[in-house]
Amino acid sequence: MPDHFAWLLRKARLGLIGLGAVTGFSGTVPFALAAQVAVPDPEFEPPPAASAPVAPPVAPPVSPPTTSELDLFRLEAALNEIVVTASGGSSEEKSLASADVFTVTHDEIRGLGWRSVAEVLANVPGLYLIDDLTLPAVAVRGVSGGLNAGTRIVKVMIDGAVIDFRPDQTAFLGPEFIPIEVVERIEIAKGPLSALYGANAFLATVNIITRKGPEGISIGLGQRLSGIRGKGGFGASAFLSYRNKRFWAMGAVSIDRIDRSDLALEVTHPLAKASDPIFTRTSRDDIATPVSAYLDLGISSERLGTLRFQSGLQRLHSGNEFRLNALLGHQSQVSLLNIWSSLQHDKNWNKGGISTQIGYSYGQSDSDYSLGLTDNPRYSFHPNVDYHAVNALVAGTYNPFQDRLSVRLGLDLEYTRATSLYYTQTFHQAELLRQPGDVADLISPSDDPHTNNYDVGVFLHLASTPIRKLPGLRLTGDVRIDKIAIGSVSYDPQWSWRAAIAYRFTSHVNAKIFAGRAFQTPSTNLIFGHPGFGNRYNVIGNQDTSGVPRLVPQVLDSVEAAFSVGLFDHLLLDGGVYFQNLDRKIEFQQTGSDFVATNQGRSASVGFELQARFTYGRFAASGWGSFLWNLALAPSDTGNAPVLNPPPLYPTAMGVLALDLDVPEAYLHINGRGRVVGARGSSQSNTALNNSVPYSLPTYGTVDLTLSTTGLHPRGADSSLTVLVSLRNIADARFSDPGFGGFDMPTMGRTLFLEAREVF
Amino acid sequence: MKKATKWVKRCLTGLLMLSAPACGDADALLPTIPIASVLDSTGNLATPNWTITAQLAVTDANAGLKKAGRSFRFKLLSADSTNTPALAISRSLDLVRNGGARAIITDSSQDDIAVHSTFYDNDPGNDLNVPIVCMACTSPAINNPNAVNPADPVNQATLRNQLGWNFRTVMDTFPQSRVLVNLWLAKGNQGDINGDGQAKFVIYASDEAFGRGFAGVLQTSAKALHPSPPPIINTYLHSPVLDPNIYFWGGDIAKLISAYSQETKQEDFFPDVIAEATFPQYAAALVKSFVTGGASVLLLHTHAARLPSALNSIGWAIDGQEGTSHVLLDGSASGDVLQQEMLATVGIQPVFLDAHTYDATMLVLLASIVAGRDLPDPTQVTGAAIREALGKLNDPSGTVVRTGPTEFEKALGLIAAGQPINYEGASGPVDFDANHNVRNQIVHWRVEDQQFVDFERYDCISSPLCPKL
Repeated sequence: MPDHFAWLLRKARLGLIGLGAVTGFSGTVPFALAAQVAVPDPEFEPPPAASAPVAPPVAPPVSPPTTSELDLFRLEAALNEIVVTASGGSSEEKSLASADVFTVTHDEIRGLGWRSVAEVLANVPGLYLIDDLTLPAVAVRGVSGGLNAGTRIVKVMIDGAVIDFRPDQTAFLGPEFIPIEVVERIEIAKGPLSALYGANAFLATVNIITRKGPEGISIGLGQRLSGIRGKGGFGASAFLSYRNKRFWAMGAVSIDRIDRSDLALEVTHPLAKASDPIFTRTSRDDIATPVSAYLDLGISSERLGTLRFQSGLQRLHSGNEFRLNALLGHQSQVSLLNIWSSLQHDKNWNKGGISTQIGYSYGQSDSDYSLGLTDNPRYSFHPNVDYHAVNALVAGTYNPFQDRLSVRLGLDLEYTRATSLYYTQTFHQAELLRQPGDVADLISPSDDPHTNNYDVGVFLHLASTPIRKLPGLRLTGDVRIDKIAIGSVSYDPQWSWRAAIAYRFTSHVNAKIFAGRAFQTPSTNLIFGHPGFGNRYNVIGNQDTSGVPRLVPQVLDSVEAAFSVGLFDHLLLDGGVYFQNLDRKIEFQQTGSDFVATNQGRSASVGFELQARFTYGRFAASGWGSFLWNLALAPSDTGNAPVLNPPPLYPTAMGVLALDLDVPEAYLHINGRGRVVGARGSSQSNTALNNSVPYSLPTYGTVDLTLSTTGLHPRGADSSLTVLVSLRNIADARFSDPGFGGFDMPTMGRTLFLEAREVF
Repeated sequence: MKKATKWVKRCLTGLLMLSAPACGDADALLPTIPIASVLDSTGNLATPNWTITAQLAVTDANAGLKKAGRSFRFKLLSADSTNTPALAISRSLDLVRNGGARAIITDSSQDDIAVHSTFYDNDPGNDLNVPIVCMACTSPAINNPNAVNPADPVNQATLRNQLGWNFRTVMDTFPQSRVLVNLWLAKGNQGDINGDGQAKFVIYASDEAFGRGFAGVLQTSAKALHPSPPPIINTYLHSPVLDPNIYFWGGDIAKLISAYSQETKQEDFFPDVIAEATFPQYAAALVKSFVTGGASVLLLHTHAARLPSALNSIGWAIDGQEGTSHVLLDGSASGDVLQQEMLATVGIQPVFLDAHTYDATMLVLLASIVAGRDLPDPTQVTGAAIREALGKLNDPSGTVVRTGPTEFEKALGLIAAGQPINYEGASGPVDFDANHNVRNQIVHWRVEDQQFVDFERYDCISSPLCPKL
């Protein structure tokens, strides 16, 4: 250990001296597209899948590069990529996985300078993010979570453990979620996965797979600068890792300061007038300071198995200029803290294994969280919301016939004690009997905002290669039952299932069909949240709202066929077509001037997604397109005639084209990408405010250009230096995304991002 | 790409259209009689339920038409008036001119007066020539042959309903004002609740037809019902168009609870009660400021505060608040059927004025049947004919017709046979008098555990004095 300490000091000195260039970060979801750029990070390697043994360290390559270091140019790797999310933790080939899994690797993320999960998800086929500059809302395949959606319709996990702010079922997707340096890859499994992960693995499941350092000690430092409308931003991150054959430790921290000010609303609502004062204002002091920290400790032995402890801190701290009631009011600040930890043990034998996991999470709105009404300085409002959650899982795997059959049976449970949202009003001026500084809790003294929630689930997973003469045939099936209560609201047992058949015709041609059913329970705040911020546009808990039916879980049934084909060693095509039916769809109904979540019938849609990747020498092109037709079976004026509707909030078509050129002689990689997003429909709220006539936001396109160094190892093979410059939305295209309350969300426009990072 | 998208959409649409008749939706292909609802889905009176209830009445009628083998259907064209009179006019005109609507269902007093005034202004081109039935217009000036407005002859003619185009299914506020004043007086000490030796009644209302009208009848009732010496009455009006988030409600409340008297123009007695008559969004904001500011004077509410939007918006603060309103349902079989239908089809309990909306719509539909009875093509029925027929639906000697599709089918048979009918609605008998007004029951309500709870009922149907039931 003393040797290691000395080595650490030496490395740190070298790194600090060597880190000259400084680069930046936009802090927002850029409109860059899913690049397939990849700059291998030889010092790091991914952790093994949960049930797999720890992999031996990989010897790092040395500089200067004689060939491309980019995975982008290795088609074979993409074709046989290993994923774990669609199997509940076991490794399997992506092309045979029982879901539509899209992966974004660490190298791709790093190569494009992305700093957040949001930036990654914004570039996944079938997903669309609407960024309110505080909590991005994720829509998947035509379905949006609605007002303040966050990740409500998506389950977000880190290494299989659910990480979100429980009362809202929303993960912070910005840089506060996790230091991006520790992300090995992000798997996005689209389609219903409740049968694996229970409630809310609904339309998609996002699994962030973390990485471990190389043998010995490794240090990484990064600094960045960003430019948005002349406003500067900066950030820094660092990690420290140590690893030997039995033990590993990793710690990482990231902090940024991003100024998004001077952003104005566009006049998009048909009844809005440009002369309305709200369109003459711009955002002011809209600063975000996201902080994330991550710790990973593990020990592994063949006899005792693998024991791993992970923990993270997420602090979302952001201006809130585009919130309803606080719109461009310059008085609102969101501040949420989320802390999570997980202890996992895996032990594998010849014919099976046992996995156990326990976790604890805590989150709260901290004292900085303060909302002010636009043009009303007399009061401020503090949202009170917090939770404590404990969860546990035990699962056993049995493989009686090696690969021919694998059975996994498990039980998991989570208990959460949450405080459902209520506001505390602070008086800033004397009013009636109140003096400046007085506070009033906007909740009845007899109303207890605390809820005790639980979710107990039992699941069974089967995977089989049943016919010896057809080794390419793979069958999988899952079934699960959950019993869920949220406070006084208890739901009937919720069944979910999934089945898939996959076949590998040749090493380059695979096809699969899979179907399933998933469910999503409403969040605590959708059921019990209290109004109080201003006198309109509050989301009121369904349970306490008169005149609306009680909220029940929404259910998704879907079937999908997908293929994966590699052609001529240069072209890879992945595609699929799906049909999904969403029943008891949760939408936001206006009750007076406020909103309440209710189940509103059913909607069905058909979609098609295609991805292509072409490589030739030092040149690569990749892209994807997604198309969706919504078959809404909604009542018409004269009866129940089926009608075709444009899906709300979600674009009917999106497409990306990325071009990459590697110039190893110059240690340079160039990426250019264009993105086209089709029309998006107006939200229910904005449609209602337009005399119930929907309108569309126009198609838009963006172009990004990123230059990054590659293969630079100035301090030898065990170090790497990357400098990156990225200009996003070069043409400064201005467009809006669907909003609520009579306006649509503006977007950032052109951003400049500079980054320098060194690993040694 | 665009062409391909269009092609696929066309194919899917075609498939769906082809499958529609097979799925039992052949009704969609039948000719229709359009009816318009211009109701507040957004704004300070927003109650999206009303449009849903109007649609329910149309659905019931269409089910009855189908059972009776009729070859046409009704269609509801809906628009949001946002409780903005100018918008109510333009959207009504649009639905009549471009949608062919033969009648209009509308809501608030100011919207009703605005839409109705098109018949009397100097522009003959904007005459709607279809009857207007309002279900939330409670101003005592509406449909009042004695209404006087020398400064505005168009307004006066409108209020007097000189051409007879205007109907309403909700009772005006005068009887309710008597109930509310009696509620105050029943609190003890002849209304001198604070025991300072003087009864003082403060009225807070929106400065438009509903608020001004209610304020006027509250003054009249307070003077009439309070024993001598007469009470001090202060009346404060606020703008009907304001931003509830910005408006300084605390400033208004400070005036309401002060000892200042408008008559003497000096500080003398503190109020014993404050009665508010404003739109629900404003009522909610007022109560919120009232409670958080620590005011403690008795606050009595009128029917607008009974709308769910007010309750939902400040459920935490409204516990214990009380007031008066028309009944939600009249307690008859008609009310029961509506309640069951709403639970079965929409999954919710009726909210305030749902029953009045249903009745307004159903009366228009029945009148359309009566008016079109002898036409070769009943869908060619005119607005004028419907106006005349609206007076023929409450014949005391006629067969009682209630709510729901079965009753509508029964009415079709009776009308076809030339027999009189007597529609008994979910909100009450809805018998139009000579001025096209109706009478309802009134109820005293209070909020308990964030729910409206009904207490005493008052019978304003049999007597304008509204005796307790």
